[in-house]
Amino acid sequence: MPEIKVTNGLKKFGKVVAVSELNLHIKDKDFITLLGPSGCGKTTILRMLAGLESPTEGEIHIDGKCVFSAEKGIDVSPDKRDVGFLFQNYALWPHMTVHDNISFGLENLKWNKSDIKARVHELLVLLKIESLADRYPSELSGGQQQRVAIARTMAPNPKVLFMDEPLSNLDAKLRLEMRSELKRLHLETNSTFVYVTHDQLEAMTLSTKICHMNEGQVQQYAPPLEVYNNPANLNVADFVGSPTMNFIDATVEQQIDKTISLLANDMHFTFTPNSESSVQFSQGQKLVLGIRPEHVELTDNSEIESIIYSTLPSGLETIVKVKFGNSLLSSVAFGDVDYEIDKKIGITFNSNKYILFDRESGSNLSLGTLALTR
Amino acid sequence: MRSFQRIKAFLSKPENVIVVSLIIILIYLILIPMFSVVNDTFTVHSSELRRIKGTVAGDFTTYHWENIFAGKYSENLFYKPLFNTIMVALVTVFIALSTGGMFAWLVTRTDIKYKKLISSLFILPYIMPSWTLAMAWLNFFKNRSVGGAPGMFTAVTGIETANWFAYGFFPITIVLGLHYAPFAYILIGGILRNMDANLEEAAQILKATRFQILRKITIPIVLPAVLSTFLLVFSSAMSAFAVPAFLGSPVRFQVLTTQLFRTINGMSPGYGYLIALIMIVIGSLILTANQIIIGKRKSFTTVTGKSSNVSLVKLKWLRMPLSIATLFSLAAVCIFPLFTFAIESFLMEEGNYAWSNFTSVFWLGAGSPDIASGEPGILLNKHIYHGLWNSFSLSAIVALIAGTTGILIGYAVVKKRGTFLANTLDKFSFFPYLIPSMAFGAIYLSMFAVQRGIIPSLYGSFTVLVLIGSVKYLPFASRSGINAVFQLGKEIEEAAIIFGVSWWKRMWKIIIPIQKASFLSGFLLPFISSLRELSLYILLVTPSTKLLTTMLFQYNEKGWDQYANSIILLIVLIAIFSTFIVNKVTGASIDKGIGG
Repeated sequence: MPEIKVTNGLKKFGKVVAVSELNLHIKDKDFITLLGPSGCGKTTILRMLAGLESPTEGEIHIDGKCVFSAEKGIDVSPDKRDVGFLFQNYALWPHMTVHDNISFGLENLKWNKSDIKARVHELLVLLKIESLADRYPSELSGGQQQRVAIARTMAPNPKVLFMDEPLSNLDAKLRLEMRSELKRLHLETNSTFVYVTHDQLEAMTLSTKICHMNEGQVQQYAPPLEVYNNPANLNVADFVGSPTMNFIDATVEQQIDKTISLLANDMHFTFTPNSESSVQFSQGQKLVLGIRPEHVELTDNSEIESIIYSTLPSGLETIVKVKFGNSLLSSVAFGDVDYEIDKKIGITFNSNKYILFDRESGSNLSLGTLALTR
Repeated sequence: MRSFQRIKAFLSKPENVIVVSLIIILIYLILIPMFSVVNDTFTVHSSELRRIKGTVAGDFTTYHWENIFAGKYSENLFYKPLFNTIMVALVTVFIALSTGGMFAWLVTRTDIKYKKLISSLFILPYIMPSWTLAMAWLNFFKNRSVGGAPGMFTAVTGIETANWFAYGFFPITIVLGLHYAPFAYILIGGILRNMDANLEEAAQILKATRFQILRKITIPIVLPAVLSTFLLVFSSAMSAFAVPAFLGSPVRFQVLTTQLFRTINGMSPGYGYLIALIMIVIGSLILTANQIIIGKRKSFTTVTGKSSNVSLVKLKWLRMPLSIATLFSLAAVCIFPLFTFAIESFLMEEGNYAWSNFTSVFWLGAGSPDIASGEPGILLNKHIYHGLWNSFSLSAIVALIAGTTGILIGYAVVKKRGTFLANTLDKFSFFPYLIPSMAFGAIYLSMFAVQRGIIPSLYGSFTVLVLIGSVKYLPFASRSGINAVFQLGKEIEEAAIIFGVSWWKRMWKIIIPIQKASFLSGFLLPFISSLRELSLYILLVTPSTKLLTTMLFQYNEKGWDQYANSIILLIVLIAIFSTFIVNKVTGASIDKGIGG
């Protein structure tokens, strides 16, 4: 069963370090997304896994077999790694019809003619492109090209599928539709998917595990909800979630047992960590308090007052910005509600998912509950 | 009254004025000359009176058509030169494509060393006029049997070169092939460089072998470009004049262009005009075929996306030897000829390479009656300076006219994109490209030898050279103009229109400054091409309007090889120098960074 393991991967382009300290363990039937801003090295990782790029150092194992090792001088070429690769620009061969594009890989595998015919037809049906079989890529729309590219990649039934931002060239509606199709495809084909994207929503909704990258280094490797609720550092917290997390600068006043008193936004708060083994804070330590929008609850009966700054109702939910002290907080109200701008409204902090980050290192120090002290 | 208003409204837009006036001018300068040359093929010319009995000059006759296609002499007059032309063009294409393609692949797809140097050296034969290599070949390999002194090869080794090796078909194809190889290099290299590497990687992941990828992916994708290169080189080789004239005439190897030159300058211009017409037809057919190939639905230009790093083929142990060998062979073709010109130009007696035989008299001599009818050395020769001045001023004026017209065409065609008028202008401005230079010279000779309407006879004037140069190089300028304006997009100009900025100001302050590099190349390409042009002008020059290149041709015909060699050195240096300047000014080199 395909399982991918990368140990101590390093990739340099000339003197530029693209990826460093890469240790990744991808289990069978996982749907992994490599998430991060552009230029963070995620495509490079994918290309290294597929064998299109050779790492400078480190080892890669696929299915227990060593396919790359800088030390042992092993570098198995892409065609011998039994993987599929979906390119961002689809890379459909312009001189071949849709049918020929799909059958090309099967011909290389020396399948017999009737099997090829059956398989191509199966894929055409699966991806709803039967009518396009005789067209050339330049005669297809973006979405159609993308389907053909998927069909071509899927044709030989690869056990591992690498995808490089396959949805980024599609319009919003089609992207949404293709997302659920990809998820079904993952289930139906029983294969391992590794997926590169810079769209955090795509990563959240699709994957079993997110590998969050920044500047060539893995920031966090965890299931989506874990990444969302307990981001490893400020960087991840800021990248994941829409609207983005609220950040308020805070300073430690004192720590009594577990409870910490904070000065933030010219107000005094107490923060109680969830876990038993709590971190030690020093007085005057500079922190950042992270609050997800959905954990700023708007209510009429609260003593904590704020003023409505702007509202963005979408029907499903309304994103509200409120002026709280001297900072703006985003909040989400679910359902078709709207508020009058510049009106006073109360807020509460009722969750236990408020996060304290170290301002200097950015790392997540503790998850806990929050209360305003008078 | 209404239609008057409509015309007034139509002409109030600058792009309409440009389109209409340019179409009228180009009809006069391109279309009407075509009719004139057709007419001349049916006309008795005064020098032909003795052979076409019982006629007066100007009478209608089918004599030329009959004799060219079905006469007693048509074998030697037409069919043999035609056959020679086609064979020369085919072999030239083969040599150009195989060397150009191989170098393009080496530079774009392997880890060969010295890529930049290789790339710039490889472009040199194209920058140098085509006859440079022909002259070098003669300097090196000419033999005694045709008369005159033997070349360096014989002088050094003592081996007499065979006639087939020194003159005629073999050296013509080699020289033309090497001259057009850079052209193939630029086109194929550009495709290889821009071709999305993902296309090949996708095939590799689907378990195609390297050979299969080459056969099923790379070659089919590159094929349309290669075919198009094939046709362009073919038509260029077909219209080459100087190389077959230099290398072919010693053994009477005739091609269509040399035959055209001979007949028009000789006793039967009617034949010449007919050959010109045939060449135009063949040229147009070839380039039309080219347009069809480029416009196919399989064309790959639509595929976009970011192209990632190409994984280069590792040459391994071959890398150093191959890199060095490549550099040496390039040096032999590009640098060595220049030395032969320098050496030959200092020889008192040709073929004698003893030190005592070296002299500077052909460069600095005051001229004495026993050497070349008293012609002074070229640095003291007022004829040379006259020719140099003519060449420079002609090229500058041609560049100015062609370049400016190119910008206007670019603006008007893009602005009125899709309309009948714009398409017509677009086609017209490209048409001169289809006409072989020599044939173009012939049709202008036919058109402007006599007074037509208000235009007096222009034969022998500087004006006719300016006219033909500007029209012939218009395609370069209008292509770069159209591309430049097209890339700009119309919003940029519309933003200014909304502010009420006048047309002049929009051109000067917005459109031209933004795309100045492309527009500049629309001026510089005609300039350089015109500077080294021979076959376009040779039928039209007279002693007072002689150019550096036509003087070279005459010196060579007279057998004054030392003068010819020194002039050629001069021209090559000017050509390389001006190309260098162009690269510096526009920041875009001809090879477009294929050597990366």
